[in-house]
Parts: sequence; structure tokens; C-alpha cells
Amino acid sequence: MRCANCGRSDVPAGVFCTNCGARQGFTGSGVSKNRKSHYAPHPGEHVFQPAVFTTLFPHLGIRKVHEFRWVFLGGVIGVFALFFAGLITAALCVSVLLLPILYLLYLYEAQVYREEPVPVLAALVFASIGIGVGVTIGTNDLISNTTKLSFAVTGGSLVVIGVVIPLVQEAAKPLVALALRSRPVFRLETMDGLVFGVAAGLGFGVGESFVRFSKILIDLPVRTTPGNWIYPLLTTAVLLPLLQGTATGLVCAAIWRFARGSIDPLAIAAIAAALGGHIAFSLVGQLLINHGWSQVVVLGWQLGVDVAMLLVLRALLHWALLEEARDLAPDARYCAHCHALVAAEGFCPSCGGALSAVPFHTRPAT
Amino acid sequence: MTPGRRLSTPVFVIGTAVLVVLVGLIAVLVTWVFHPHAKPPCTIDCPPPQAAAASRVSSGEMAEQQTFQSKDFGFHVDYPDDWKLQSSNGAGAIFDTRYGQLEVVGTRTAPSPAQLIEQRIAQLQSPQLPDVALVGPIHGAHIGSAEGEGQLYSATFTPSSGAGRGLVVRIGVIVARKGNATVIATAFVPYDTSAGRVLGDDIDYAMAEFRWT
Repeated sequence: MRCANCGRSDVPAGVFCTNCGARQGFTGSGVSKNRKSHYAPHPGEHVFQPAVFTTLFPHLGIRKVHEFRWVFLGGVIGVFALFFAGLITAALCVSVLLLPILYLLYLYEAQVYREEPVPVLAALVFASIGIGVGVTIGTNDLISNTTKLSFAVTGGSLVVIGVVIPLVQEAAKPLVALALRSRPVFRLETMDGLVFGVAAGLGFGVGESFVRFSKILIDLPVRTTPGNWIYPLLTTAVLLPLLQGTATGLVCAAIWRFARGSIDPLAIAAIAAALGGHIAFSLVGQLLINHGWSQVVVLGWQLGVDVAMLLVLRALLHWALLEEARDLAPDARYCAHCHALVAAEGFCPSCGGALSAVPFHTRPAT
Repeated sequence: MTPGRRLSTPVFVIGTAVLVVLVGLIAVLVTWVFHPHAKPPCTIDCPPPQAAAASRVSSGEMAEQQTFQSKDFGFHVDYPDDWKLQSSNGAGAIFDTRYGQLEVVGTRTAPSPAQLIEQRIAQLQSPQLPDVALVGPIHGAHIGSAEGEGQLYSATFTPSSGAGRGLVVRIGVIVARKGNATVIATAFVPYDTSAGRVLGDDIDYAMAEFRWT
């Protein structure tokens, strides 16, 4: 079959071109290389669908993604149960660790670490948590004592909290992922950069949260009044890990793209989205608190920032998979979505799923 | 198992649930071990209250002072140099103190002191203070030369992202009247759970030195 988009004449017959991923069967401008309604790792979704798990866990097949969603939902319900029982310190710890634990299981499930589980997991878990602890303690000294128990943060302290600390964090978080990049096996795929970045960001968030809540974890009694704790708990369980993971995923995926030797506008936009999003999350969030807006508004704003960053990350990954698939040679590959073995280069001819977005152990031996 | 799966569904779900329960149990255990347990009050052969005496000595170190004057109510608040006037208007001011925060506001409204304290605490209910709870009355509460009514509350201060570390705090609200002016003083101070005392000697001093006109 000849692809109407890339012109290859020897691609297997199917709905999607196995070389460039374009959907076939349309005429003229109807053939879209972008295939915006078929997100490369999960062709059943639109590229700009705000789906957390198919963005941050791109190697998983659709059924496994559902399992991760349900388990995460169960964890959030567990946080609610601990909250209603007044076990706030337990709820805080579960909130801090819920998404990072799931990501660790994802790294195992997808075998992102290839044949080197010990150095990769040790770096992503211990080093990123250590960096989170160190940077949080260090930047805590940038905040004046008078600001530390202040409800309205203004002036220089607002600049430190809203701009300086986010920039310092975004500079520190990718270090672990960049260290892993020194190994040649991890240099080729943007998806590796994305996954290592998200993992490093989540690990950093664990360290940051434990420093922020360390005194509370020790000073609060085991059981206390639930009050309005649900807001900080939801922020800790969902919004902060999403911010830290997505921002570092964006930065690392962009670095991986730059390292391929091209000035990629989407990668530049990804860096801008990571830095701007983190600043918008912290600075505008603090301004809303300063002006007495309700926590629902603050949470809504922070959720909006997280979603916007997530969409940029999806777009970057989608484009990267479309482009990088052209470097692949035809081989017998496993499709994580339709569970079929197909003879193809980059995309499943039936469902259009990116064949590099599959668990590593199912890939053809190289 | 399909070729793309390493964790079967039961192993994944049960394993994650066990991990989450373990995290919760460890958190409860750590909190239980490290949380300072209340000591029974001493009734026989008690030592002198050295800690309290030491804190009173340190409160005397108020060398340099500045003054805030309320234009609407005329009262004066003398505060030390290491405090920062965070914001002010004709009715009152908010100070960042050595360890916490003090808000002093005048009003001419009619409600009783108890109602004003309740209203003030209702305003404080926020995610940054998610668990405000009454501890008890402040005996001998006063603002300057005027005797007042006060209540002490416990709470946990949870800072916004990147803005420092969470703390267990005490919130003292005192309302006092002189003439037709009522002053509401709200103090936020860290609570030292191991020593069982609040770190607010400088605020006590400022309230004692408060001048009504």
C-alpha cells in the first residue's frame, strides 16, 4: 500500500501508515500527519484530551491504564477515609506517596529501566527524593522568618515564593534524569526523557512534601479534628505531584528533543510551559490566597495550570513519537492496544498505536 | 497473561493496597512514637518553673521600638524593631512578629466580646488553618490597661506550595473595650509541643504596653 502522507509505497495495508502514523482513507488535505484525534500512544484519545494516565504513563496498554486509574481512585478514596477518621498524619503520608508508588510500579511494569533496574530506580527514587529534601531545606532559608507564619505573602517574599523557588526547583529536578542520560541506551527516545523526568519530579515532590510536613507529622496527635484538611490533602495527593511530575517531564522531554539536534518549537514551548506553569501555579495561587479567594478557586486555578501543562506534554510526546517512528526498521512488534503482533515500523496498521509506546520487554530484540 | 503485562491485575491491585496500608500504618506509628505525650501535672515536690521564668527574662529584651497609631481609634501599639508592619489602615494593623503574626483591629460594633471572638475565628477557617479548635479561655486577658475576654485555639498552619514548613500553632483572640472603642487582638504563634508552651513572649509584651489613647 502507498501512504498518501509520507509517500512510502511498501507499507502494510491498514487504517494507519506504519511508517508515519498518518490515518489513511481520506483525500486531499483530509490526510493529516498530525492525526490530532488519534493520540500516538493511545489512538482512541484526542491529542488534547486531558488524560493524566495516558500522558504520564505512556507505555501502558489501555487495559493496564484502566487498572492504574482505578487503583489511584481507590487510593484517593483511602485518603478520604483516613481524613474522615481523623487520621490526618496517615492521610498526609498516603497523599504524598500515592502517585509516586504507582509510578514506581509503572516503571517496573513497562521496564523503562531496560536491563539496569538497580542504578535507574536508585537514582529515580533515592537521588530525586534527596534533591527534593536538600532543595526544600535550602530554599526555606530564602524565606524570611516573618513570612514563615504569614497568611498574606507580599513584596520580596512573594517574588521568592512565586518565582525564585519554582525556578530553582525546575533547575534541580532534571539533574537525576540528565545523569541517566549519560547511558547511551537512554538517549534515543524522547519518551525515556519524559518518563525519567516525571519520575524525578515525583521523587522531588516526595522529598519536598516530607520537609514541608515534617513538623506536622511529629507534632500532630495520631487522631485529630479533620476540619478542612481535605484541601491540603487533595493538593498533596493530586495537584502538587502533577505539577512537579509534569513540569520535569516537559523539561526532560524537551532536552531529549534538543539533543536530537533540531531546534524544535514544541520543545521550546515545553520549556516555557514548565517554567511558566510552575510560576503561575505558585505565584497566582499565593496571590489568590492573599486576596482572600476561597480554596475552591485556588484549587481550580492550580488544577487548570496542571491540565494546561499536561496538554503541552501530550502534544510534545505525540509529535516526538510521530517523528521518531521514521527511524525504526520494520520488525515483528507487539501492539499494546490491540494485543496483536504486527510486522511494522512505528505504528500498528490496525489501531494506529505507537509501537515504541509499549513495555520494553515486548519489543523486538535489538 | 498478555505479552505486555508483568503485573497481573490481582497482584497489582492487592500489592498497591498493601503498600498504601503499610504507608498509613507507618505514619500512625511514627506520629505515635514521636508525638510528645502530655505529662501529668506535678502535685508533690515540684521543681521551680524554670522554663517559664527563663521565658519571662527573654521577653524583657525590647531595646528599639517603633509605634503604630490607629487614626480611627487613636490607640498605639509599640512594637520592636525585629517586627515588620505587614499592612495597616485607619482601624488597625497586621504585624509579622518574631515567630508569628499579630493583628490588632479597632471596631465600634455592638456585639459582645464572645460574639466578636466567634466571628473572628469563623473568618480564620481556611485551608491554611484546616483544624482550628478551642483550647480554653485566656485567664487574665487584657489589652493595655483594659481587661478583656480571650480564648485560645489550636490549629495547624499549612503553608502554600514552596512557602516554608507547616507548624502546629496557637491562636489567641482577645477582645477588650474602653469607652466606645473595642479592640480585637489576634495572635498566631508557633506551639512548642515538646515544651508545651507558645513562642509569643514578644506579643505578650506588646499587649501589655498597648496604649488606648
